[in-house]
Amino acid sequence: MSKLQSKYNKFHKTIKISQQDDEYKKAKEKDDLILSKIKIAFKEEGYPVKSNFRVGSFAVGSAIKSICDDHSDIDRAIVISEEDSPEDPLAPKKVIKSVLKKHGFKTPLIKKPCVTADYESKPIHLDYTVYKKLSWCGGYELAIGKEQSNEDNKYWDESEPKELLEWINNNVNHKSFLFDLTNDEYDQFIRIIRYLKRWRDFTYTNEKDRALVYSIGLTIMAREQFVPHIGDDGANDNKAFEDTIRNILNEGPYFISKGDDKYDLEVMLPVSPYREVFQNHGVTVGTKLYKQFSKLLNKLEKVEETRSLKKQCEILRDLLGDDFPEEDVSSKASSESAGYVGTTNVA
Amino acid sequence: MLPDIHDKITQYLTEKGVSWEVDDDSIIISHNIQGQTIKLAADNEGKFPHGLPVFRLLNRHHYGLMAHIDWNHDNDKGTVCIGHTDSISCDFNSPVILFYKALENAIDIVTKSLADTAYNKTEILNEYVAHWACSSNVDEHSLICMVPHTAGITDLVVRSASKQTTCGLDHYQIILPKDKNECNDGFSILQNAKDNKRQNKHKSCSLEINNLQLPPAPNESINEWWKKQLKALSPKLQSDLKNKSRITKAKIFYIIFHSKISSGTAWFSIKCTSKTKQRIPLTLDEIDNWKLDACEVKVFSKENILPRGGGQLDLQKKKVCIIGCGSIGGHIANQLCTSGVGSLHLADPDWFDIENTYRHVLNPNKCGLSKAISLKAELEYTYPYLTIETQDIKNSSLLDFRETKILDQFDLVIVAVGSPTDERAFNEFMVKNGVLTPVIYTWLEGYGVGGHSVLVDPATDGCLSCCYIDNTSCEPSLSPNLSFIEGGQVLFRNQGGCGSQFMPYSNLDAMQTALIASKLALRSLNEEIGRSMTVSWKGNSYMANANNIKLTHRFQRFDKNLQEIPLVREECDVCQ
Repeated sequence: MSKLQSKYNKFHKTIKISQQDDEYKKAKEKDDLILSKIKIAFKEEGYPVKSNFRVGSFAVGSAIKSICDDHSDIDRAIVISEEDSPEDPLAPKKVIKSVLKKHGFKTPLIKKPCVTADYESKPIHLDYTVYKKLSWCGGYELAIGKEQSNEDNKYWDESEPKELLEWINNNVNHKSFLFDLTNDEYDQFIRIIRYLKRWRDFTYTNEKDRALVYSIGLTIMAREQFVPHIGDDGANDNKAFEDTIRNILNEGPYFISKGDDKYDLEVMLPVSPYREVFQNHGVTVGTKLYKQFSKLLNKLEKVEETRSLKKQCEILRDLLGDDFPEEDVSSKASSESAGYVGTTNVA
Repeated sequence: MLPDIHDKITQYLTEKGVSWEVDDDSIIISHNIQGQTIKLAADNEGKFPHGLPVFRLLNRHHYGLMAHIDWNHDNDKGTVCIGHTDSISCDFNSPVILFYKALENAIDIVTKSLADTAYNKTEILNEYVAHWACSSNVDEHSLICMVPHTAGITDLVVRSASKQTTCGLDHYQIILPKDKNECNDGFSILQNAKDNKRQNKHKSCSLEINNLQLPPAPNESINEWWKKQLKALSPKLQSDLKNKSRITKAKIFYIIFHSKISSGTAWFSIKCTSKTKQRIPLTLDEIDNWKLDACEVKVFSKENILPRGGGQLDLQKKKVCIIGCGSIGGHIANQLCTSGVGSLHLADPDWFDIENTYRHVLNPNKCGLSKAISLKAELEYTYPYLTIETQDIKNSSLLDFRETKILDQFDLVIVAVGSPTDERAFNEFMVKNGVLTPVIYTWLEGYGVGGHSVLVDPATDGCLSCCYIDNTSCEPSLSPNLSFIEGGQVLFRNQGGCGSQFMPYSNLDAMQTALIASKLALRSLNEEIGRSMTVSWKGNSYMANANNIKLTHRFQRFDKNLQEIPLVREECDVCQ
């Protein structure tokens, strides 16, 4: 299985975006520029930016290169103080929209939780969320509302963005109370998230369907059901992937049968406001996702049973796309040498 | 025996219909065996009820030789052997039952010995040495016989005990062959035997007996026994002894007997003394001119000592090369010697330093000497059946061993140098040149977290480089994937700015690492494994945590402590 693990590693290297990648650096440049303009604009409006922090896949460390639109997503939280914050949660979001418009982003859109926009000349996609920090407890409230929302749908909603990141990034093993995840196991979890997101992007060819299979929903399910597999013969990402999907389908509380092969999907945010991630379209997403997960599981099981590396790669290329490497008998594992490292060996 | 227990026992014996009486503090039990009444005395001695009661057969000399019942010259009582107290778990809360069951056992033994002549004879021959000891009344220092089992008659020398000491090795008389000894010359007992403080040398010979007669009965003299035994010897042997006697005169002479019995070889001796120098008593004519006394012999031969001490005779033929005689290599060498390995080749380019004290098996008085040569001296002093060669110190690094001709002469090579670069280079040489000698690489990690041993069996898959495949990337790595400590941390310490650095670990860590290597070595030498393996021992993280040292996933998840784990990685670009 370890030759297959080499393939997984190569695949992972291909799909991941890290802070060292050019895609990230370009997006960050733009993000830094927009952020500075937002800071000026907010100050002029009387609610200066108190802090900001990264959220989303870059904060989790699970960002992947998109195969759909070739965009780099950057998600950022903008925090203002409770005292300065306007009553209307839409007001700061409109300011952000205006800043984005002025700086080359096409058709910025105020969505219910955020302001989102694509850059016109570069493949960069930005999402900004606005929070007010509560002075009495240090908690956050998220600015909710679209431009056309009535008063009932515009409000500041309790939220725990940092706690969510902490929940994903800590080393609690939700499947075993005996052991926390080791660093190597956590790294394996991050790889599984990336595989899962790439699988979604590859499997859901319809953009609308794909957009509804939220990354945060996949991340929460995978985080809760992750089963590490690292033994003395190395990591086995395929087995970890397989067992995690099996647990999501069979052990997790997520898929609720509605008869006629229909499934509702319920994934709760593990932090405040503890809302249901797939609310309003649980059955639409759940029915299809259940089928696709079942197919995925079946194929991963076949990979485990198959001895031929060639066939294993073929199955995984069918599942994950052409970025998963083909079997290449002539290629040997090779990496640039570190030159020397300090070891702990003594005698 | 406490008075209340004494009363309860006698009351119980009466209830059971046992005939008893009390004489002084002893309970005397009478029992009828085939028309004769024997008497057993339960004396007030021993650990009873925290051990078995002691039963002595009265009027012992009257019954002659009896299996499992001793006798002595001082009194007419013989102890009935009903079991070794240390190996028995007694119900000391029920002393009456304990006493009665032991009594039943004692009566059974006496009955069998008296009533079953064939059984009695067989058992006496089986316990020949113990019965011989009953005859021994020589106020002599014990004899250590460092003589191998040889057929016929063999000339020996007895080095007398030192007169100045009353304890320790000097207190023993040591019997040596006249020519080459099977021990190495540096062995401690041999050195002691040849010391000048042993002023007297006595003549002696060993004699193999094929038709062993029963040992002397109580009141039978050794002279009578020897005549009886001599007559029973083959005519050829009698003739040889006669010739020997004709040409050898002495005032003190020792005859060392050895004979195969069902439980092994029985060794015993006779000390022969005469006021004047005369022909030694190896013929019937000479015996009455001598005073003969039975003596016990402690046998110190390879066949006797090695198995008794847990060593394996088969390993005597094996030759093991140990490269690296530091704290781990030193312990491995010692452990292999204790296991019976007969031949070592030691190599280390280093000198023993005063700083090595505590961690090293060597004594600090070896300071400034070659580690390999010092280890040779120490091991040969301790273990008799051992040959050690040492590598020239100039060619003692691991890389100097990259020669097929050198490696082919060993049954096993053990590398305990703790240098990953040299080890990997050596491994590549082994694999690329198809050297068939198995190799064990062993090292420990500091801070008490553990240690590792890797057996590479060239006849099977797997090599040291398989341990240098990163577990996550599955690519070649410069850090072993067996490690318990994350690489790239500052682990070495210096003390007082001395310029030299050291890794904190204890001698126990070195010993534990040596143990897993030695066990693998023995399994390999005994051809019990048949594939490449790794074994790790995992300590604890206390010291590492206290020093903010990061430990690996393997440490945190490792649950195969001391278990053999097959070694082979298909990504290995050296062996695959």
